[in-house]
Amino acid sequence: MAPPWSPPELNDDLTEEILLRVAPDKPAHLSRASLVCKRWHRIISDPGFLRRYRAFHGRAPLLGFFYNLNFPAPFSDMVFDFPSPSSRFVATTASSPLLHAAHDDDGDRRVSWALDCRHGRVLFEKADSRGLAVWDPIADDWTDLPPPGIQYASYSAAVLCDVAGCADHRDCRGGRFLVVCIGCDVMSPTETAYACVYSSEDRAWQVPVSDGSGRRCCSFDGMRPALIGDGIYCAVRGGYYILKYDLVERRFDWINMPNRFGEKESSAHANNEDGSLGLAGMRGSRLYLWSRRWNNNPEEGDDAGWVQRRVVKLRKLLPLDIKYFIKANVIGFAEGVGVFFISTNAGVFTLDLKSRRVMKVSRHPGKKYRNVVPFISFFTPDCAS
Amino acid sequence: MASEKKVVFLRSSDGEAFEVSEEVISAASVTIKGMIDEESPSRADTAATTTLAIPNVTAATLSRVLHYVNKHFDAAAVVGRPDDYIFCAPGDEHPLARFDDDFVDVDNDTLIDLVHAAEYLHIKKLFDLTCKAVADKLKGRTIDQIRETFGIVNDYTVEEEVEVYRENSWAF
Repeated sequence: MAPPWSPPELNDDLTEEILLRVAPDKPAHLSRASLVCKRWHRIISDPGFLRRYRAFHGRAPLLGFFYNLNFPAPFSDMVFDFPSPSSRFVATTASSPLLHAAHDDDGDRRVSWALDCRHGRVLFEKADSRGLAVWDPIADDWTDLPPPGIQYASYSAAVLCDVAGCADHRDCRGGRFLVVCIGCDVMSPTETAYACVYSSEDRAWQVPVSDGSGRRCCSFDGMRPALIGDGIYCAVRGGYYILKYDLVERRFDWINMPNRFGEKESSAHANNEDGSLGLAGMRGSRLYLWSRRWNNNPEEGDDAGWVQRRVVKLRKLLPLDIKYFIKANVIGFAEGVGVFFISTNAGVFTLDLKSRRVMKVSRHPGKKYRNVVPFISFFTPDCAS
Repeated sequence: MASEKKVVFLRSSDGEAFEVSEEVISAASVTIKGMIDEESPSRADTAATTTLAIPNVTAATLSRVLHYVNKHFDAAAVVGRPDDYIFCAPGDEHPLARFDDDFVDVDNDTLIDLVHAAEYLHIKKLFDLTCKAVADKLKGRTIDQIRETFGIVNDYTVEEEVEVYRENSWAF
């Protein structure tokens, strides 16, 4: 009989396979593992391993969010002691790489509104001017933008990666980017919508594009727009519309909200798993999710309307008295991760649609978040150095 | 005769033989499928049952592996046993999620043996499951506890350890 076989210790390949499976939503675990021994440190520091790690997990995790408060209202000219950018960040992980980093000039910066966060960058409106600033919080790199060519009465804005051929945006930090503002011109008596696009490559705003439909765009509430393909989708407050701006065709389209989407329902729109436009709203303690269907038959038009996709009974997941849901609101959505942010009278909760896990995330008792801008990114150990 | 399921025997490193359906183990293990395919020409003209030597896997580990394989790769068993479904929590992604959780809820050495066996036998689903379970053991453990868990000797000098700690200090 063969002698009893004893397993060899974990070799490099198996150690790599195991470290590859450390969950990215707990970024501290992989960084801490570097301290175990030299071999682990060598594997974890290897750029090839880290590329493989990001590809293996596919979708970047939610690390936290930047919040905007109900007061002061967006776009007001009130003088207010605005917080620094990093103090607007709330981590959803136990140790946060963003909170720890000493941001050199963060203390002097004041931002009035977190407009968007995408592809590893955060877009802020600066408190001291109507100018904008883009922050890469992992590299701690700031880009100050001049004010856009249009003086907006209200607007929504997006920041996005502009690297040709970058499809998954897992490793695109530091490349060229675009900032897009869509809103209503303060000088226009007809309340016409204008889009302004800034390219980091040109370091300048392009000529503003106006909407030729003649519709009044009313007001925008600074909610984060959705990005689907080349389209940027903004909710128009009080108008029951979503305004789409196509970055390539440089034109606007108006999309009606679903008929049954009532005035009381707040909206957060989302890029669904299947790439369609989504809408989310609260009615009482129920979360209603809608999906925009597109029709490929040209004779019927390309627009097949809205479909109610799902209703989530929140009180089954969050055993709170009904009174806490009286003014419940959807105030954000982390696409890719499938997490909604829901504001109740008992604080802000995240709802993970897939696992149905609910977590309280608001950290500021007595203050009410108007909306939140989720920060979704890998934070692998190479990001810390 | 055609309806009779073919079986093979697998002999562990410590000499114990286990019976398993040829179809099931071929679907699960790339390595064993390769062994069976190699044997096939000589088996055609004999009625003898095939016994394959698995020199890298002990009886204790092999019996666990086969338990997993029969649950996951025997289509009849997966469909026909509703008890596996009844205890599924609503959030479970697949009916065997609970079985998998229990399967890897074992001591460290057993788990590492399973990783090696899954790698050697080339059973991808089991390899993923066991590697993930080992990775999950990093949760909630201090660096010293991780070293102890994996039998790793700290080979850093004090200066090196301080430097690596400094690079990753945010995580502590």
